[in-house]
Amino acid sequence: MDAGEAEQQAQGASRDERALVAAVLADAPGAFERLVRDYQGLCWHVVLRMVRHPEDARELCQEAFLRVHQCLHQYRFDAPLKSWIAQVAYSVARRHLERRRIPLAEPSADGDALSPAELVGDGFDLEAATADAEAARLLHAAIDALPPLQRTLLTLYHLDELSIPEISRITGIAAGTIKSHLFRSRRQLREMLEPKIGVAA
Amino acid sequence: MNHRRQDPTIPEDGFDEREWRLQERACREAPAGLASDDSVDAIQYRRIAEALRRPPTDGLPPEFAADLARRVAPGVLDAVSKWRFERILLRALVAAFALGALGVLGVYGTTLVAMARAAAGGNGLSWAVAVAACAGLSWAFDRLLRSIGRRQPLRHA
Repeated sequence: MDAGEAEQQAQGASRDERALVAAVLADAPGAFERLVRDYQGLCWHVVLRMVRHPEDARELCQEAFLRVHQCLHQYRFDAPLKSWIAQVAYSVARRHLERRRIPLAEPSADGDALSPAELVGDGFDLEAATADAEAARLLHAAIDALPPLQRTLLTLYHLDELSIPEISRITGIAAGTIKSHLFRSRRQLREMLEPKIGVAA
Repeated sequence: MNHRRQDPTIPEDGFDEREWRLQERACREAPAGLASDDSVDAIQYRRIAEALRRPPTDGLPPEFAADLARRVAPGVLDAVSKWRFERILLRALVAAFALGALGVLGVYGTTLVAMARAAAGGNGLSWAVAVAACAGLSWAFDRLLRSIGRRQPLRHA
């Protein structure tokens, strides 16, 4: 995620990616399946973090890859293939949220997500629980309670290890804004969980 | 700075460069199990970084890629294209018949109405028109409901 990596990513598609795209466009047997296998993890992370519901996420991943297949001839090799595919997945998931009138950058209002207050409520006895496992559970619940955009940015940055410029390309959000979101979301998680996760190793 | 407040994707200010560096160091150290800083903040940020690196427990089914590849296989796509072309042709044919029927009504309408009135007698024609209008409305309502149903995304439990 440093400047060197960002520069490398800015160079565009690798030789392998070009070969794979050419094979898919030529309808080579197994090429599209390989492309899906290579990038389904990334697509899943983006879509699931955006929409949260696994069933919806599966359908949207399908839609995203069908669109990739349909529009692959428009890919200009000016960015890594994974960025382009993640961009398609992000736009499919984003449109899904818009259709459902779910705000992108505000805490989810549906009943499934835990509010920060519920996360640190009295119902949970941290002392009686195994510290690490419960802290992890609380953290994941807190991540889930973040707005779709923040969840997705954190996942792309930490889990998929994409650089800020690359995330900016995928989401169309300015790099400075992404940095600010990452900073604030991580601080929010720490503040939310501070009384519960403590510092015990 | 009003535009910053209007765009929900732009967070409010409050960026702290020192804390950002602490977060970033935790992000680099957590996967390697390193701990150059034992402050409370650093420990908590390392835990958060570890949690954020953990992949979701749910995933796509193992046959996802193979299923999708089958769906876009050239033969399948050709069949879908052919079916779509045939459907367009059928619609064009129906539209041509409808236009023809309208033309016939325009030219021979009054004669046809007079013949129908003579055959049905009294209010028979009015009732026939009312029945046809009811059938037409039911059909249009059904089409509307189907169209709304298609546009609704599938909901899952």
